[in-house]
Amino acid sequence: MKNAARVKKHAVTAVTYAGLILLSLFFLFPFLFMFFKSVMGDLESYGTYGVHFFPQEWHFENYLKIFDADFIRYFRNTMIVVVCNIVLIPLAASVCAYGFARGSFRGKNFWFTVVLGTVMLPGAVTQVPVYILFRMFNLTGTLAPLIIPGIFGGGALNIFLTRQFIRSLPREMDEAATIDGAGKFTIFARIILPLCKPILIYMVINTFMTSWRDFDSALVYIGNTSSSSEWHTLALGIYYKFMISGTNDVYPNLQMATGVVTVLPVAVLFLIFQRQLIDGVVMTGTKE
Amino acid sequence: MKQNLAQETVPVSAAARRERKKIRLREELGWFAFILPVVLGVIIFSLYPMLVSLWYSFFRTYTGTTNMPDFVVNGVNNFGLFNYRRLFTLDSEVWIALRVTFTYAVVVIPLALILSFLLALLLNSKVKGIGVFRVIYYLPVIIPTTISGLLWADFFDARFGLANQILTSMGLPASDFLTSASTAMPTFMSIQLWTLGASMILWLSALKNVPQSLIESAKLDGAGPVVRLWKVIIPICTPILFYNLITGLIGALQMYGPVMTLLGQSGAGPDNSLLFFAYKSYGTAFMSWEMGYACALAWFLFVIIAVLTGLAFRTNRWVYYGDGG
Repeated sequence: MKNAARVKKHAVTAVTYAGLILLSLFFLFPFLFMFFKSVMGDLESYGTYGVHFFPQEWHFENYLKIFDADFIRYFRNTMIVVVCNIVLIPLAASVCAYGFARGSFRGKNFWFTVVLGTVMLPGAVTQVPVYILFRMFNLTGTLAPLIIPGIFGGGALNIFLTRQFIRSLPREMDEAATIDGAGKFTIFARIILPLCKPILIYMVINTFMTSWRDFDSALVYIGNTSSSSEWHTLALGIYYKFMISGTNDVYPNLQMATGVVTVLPVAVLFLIFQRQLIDGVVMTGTKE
Repeated sequence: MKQNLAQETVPVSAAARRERKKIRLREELGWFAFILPVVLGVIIFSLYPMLVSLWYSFFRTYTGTTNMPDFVVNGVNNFGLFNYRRLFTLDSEVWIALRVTFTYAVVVIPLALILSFLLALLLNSKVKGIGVFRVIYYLPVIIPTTISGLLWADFFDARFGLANQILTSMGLPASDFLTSASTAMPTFMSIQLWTLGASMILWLSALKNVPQSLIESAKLDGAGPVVRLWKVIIPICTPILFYNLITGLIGALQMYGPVMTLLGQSGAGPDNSLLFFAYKSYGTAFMSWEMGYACALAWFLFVIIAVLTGLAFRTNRWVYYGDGG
């Protein structure tokens, strides 16, 4: 009897692992496909000699070929956007979150509801006027529209998460500092901000990933004119170069190598900070 | 508030009261300064554009990137319901776009909910190394839109793609995938399978929040695994279900990046089979530069989203919000 139960338990575990591993192969497939194709020879990657999953020959030198002037320019632009945003967004979000968490003033709840309400607003509704606004300042076709909105509060969800975090901090220290004559901003900068380190790290990583990956707003605000191509980010430049340009003279192996190099930073960051990132996703998802 | 009332009962001179009011006001303004960035942000990037786009939607605009819809550029005669007439009666693409968008939503949202729930159930099993699998299943979610388009366009290429190679090697007929109207949508839908990790993570956290005591007491009452799933676990997970439903719907209605990067030049697919509403509205604004009409399309979309989410919130009595409510 006892033996049978143990056999059954082992069988269940074995089946569970088999299922888990099979599904892992499924979810890893895009990465494997991209990597194997990236090290194929030119014609093999194109499928001239039949279509393969595993490369017949390994051409790691493909990874040296992709760093042309275009790629370096895309990378530079992406880094400008990413660096500005990972500094500005967490900072702006924590300043606003502090006001919402500790402040007492008329209209606080009203504004908090309005801020959270903007999450539900579809981008299409605001896209055209915001585009025209940026154009009035001659900022379309540059990186500015990808950076400026972050200064204004750093995003509703970031404010929400940071406010929750600040509310969980004990008030005793702020009160002691107030008695010592410290102003609101001193308390924020000296006491609250250092304590916010975990949530700040989350915001920095998350902002890095979203700015790095952003395609939708880069497409709208930078677009493809003769002058704006100077400011193409990785996501946008790859799109125009590999998918839109009529000639399509870049072989698939080099396209995939570019893809691998573009995925790599976010994949590495995700693997290092996966716990914080997933917790953040869960916290925003279960905020009700 | 109550504290203030208690203080008011102590008699104070009018001057002192005025002084206190001034201090109080300064205090409030000091706090308001902290949220000022986001207040400005909401006004500049949400409230103002929202109203202005409604205003623009009544202007007939012409091709040309320098046109801004107003009376000076367009003349008073070009203010009216043109765009709405065009939207409701003349432009057949609007209805195609709605059909495409809702076909996608109606198939993909429920399917993704069920499949990601099954994944979460599997990941909730107590075996060693489960954390590694959780990370692997989530990993495709982080692939940037452009790279995802690049990768799947290559994989599903009808002539030189690996997908057809796999099909034919198994003795199945080759498919046209993204190059024919009948197969483009199923192909696009199947690509979404790889991003199931996003909702799976939410399900997983909901499953972890199901009190163990509740499951144990259900077990004592003789409830089998299926009954426990239906009567205990799923009801507790309904807030996540609701959240996934709403975000899935909004996501489908805002879909343009993934289609454009997958399809390249023809962002609408063969015979408009992948003409998503958001792509239609994007293209109207930033490819044909008809800003007024684009705003009318956007507001039409906005009203649909508002009505649907409103309905969802009104009929959400099936959602379990803890003991309190």
